[in-house]
Amino acid sequence: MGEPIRVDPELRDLVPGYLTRRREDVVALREALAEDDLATVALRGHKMKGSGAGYGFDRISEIGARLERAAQSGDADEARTRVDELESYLDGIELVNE
Amino acid sequence: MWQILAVEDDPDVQGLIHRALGGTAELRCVGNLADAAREIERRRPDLVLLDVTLPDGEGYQLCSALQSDESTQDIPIVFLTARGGIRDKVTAFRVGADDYIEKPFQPEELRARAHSRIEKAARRRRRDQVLCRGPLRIDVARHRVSTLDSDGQRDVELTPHEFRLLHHLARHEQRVFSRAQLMEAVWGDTVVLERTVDCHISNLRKKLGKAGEQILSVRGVGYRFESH
Repeated sequence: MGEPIRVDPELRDLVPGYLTRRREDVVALREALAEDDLATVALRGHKMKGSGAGYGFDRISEIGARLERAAQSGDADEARTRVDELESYLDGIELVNE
Repeated sequence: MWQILAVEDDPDVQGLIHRALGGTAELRCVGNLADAAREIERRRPDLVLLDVTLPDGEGYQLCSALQSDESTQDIPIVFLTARGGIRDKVTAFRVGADDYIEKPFQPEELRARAHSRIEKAARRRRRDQVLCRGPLRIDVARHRVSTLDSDGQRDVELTPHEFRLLHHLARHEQRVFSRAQLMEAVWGDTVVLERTVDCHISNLRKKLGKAGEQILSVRGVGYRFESH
């Protein structure tokens, strides 16, 4: 069952690109974690935290914040869990145009 | 149309800023501090939206630089950042921020805050166009000076250098200036003698009458302006 997200009409044409880039984040984050590159994980998390809710995806901001915190405290396992959470969240999104 | 410069390296956030402000202002986006400094020099913006975490440094640096330059210190600066700690906010206001918006932000809120800052700065600029100091009124836009005494209001004819000298002193009330500082502020690169400053001050005092008594000599240093 997908999670319905209402899309602001002003942002409608930007949202698909935004979600595509988050899918790219999932790949990049897994690569960074495989290389123990927590600085990259923190930076990507920081950016997701800053943009998600602006597009209507509060959950992406939350996951981004947790990712950033996990990376900053050196907790790679927690970061991996958040990347999995991001992926399953993205898989479940259903966009509803307002 | 208002000019807004957004210093933001994340294209997704740039997209949100465009949606929030694009229709109401001419918006330029740059992704680092070096490009921001160049853009500001090329065309003065009415507002700077400034991220903190940037590829070539922190937004605080640019904010400090703009604040320490007299030609840019009145440009409103709004920080737009995902750093929400109290220390970050305090640092931003310490270096001269006018506002601080945490990401994620709602485009509507950004629009309202940015417009409010621009309008306030514009009102302040208009107000600064007329300086009232005691019986003295300096209309900068019209380059006119008048004084108010027992006979009513009187226009005073000043030479361009006298006007600049008076404006400089009155604008920085209470600040003591050496003759060398006044020479630089008023005559720029033109070489003049220190005595020239004294002559202009003397002429100003004569022309301004009672209002001229607000220009005070500071023994061994130079001059300062003090309102009556």
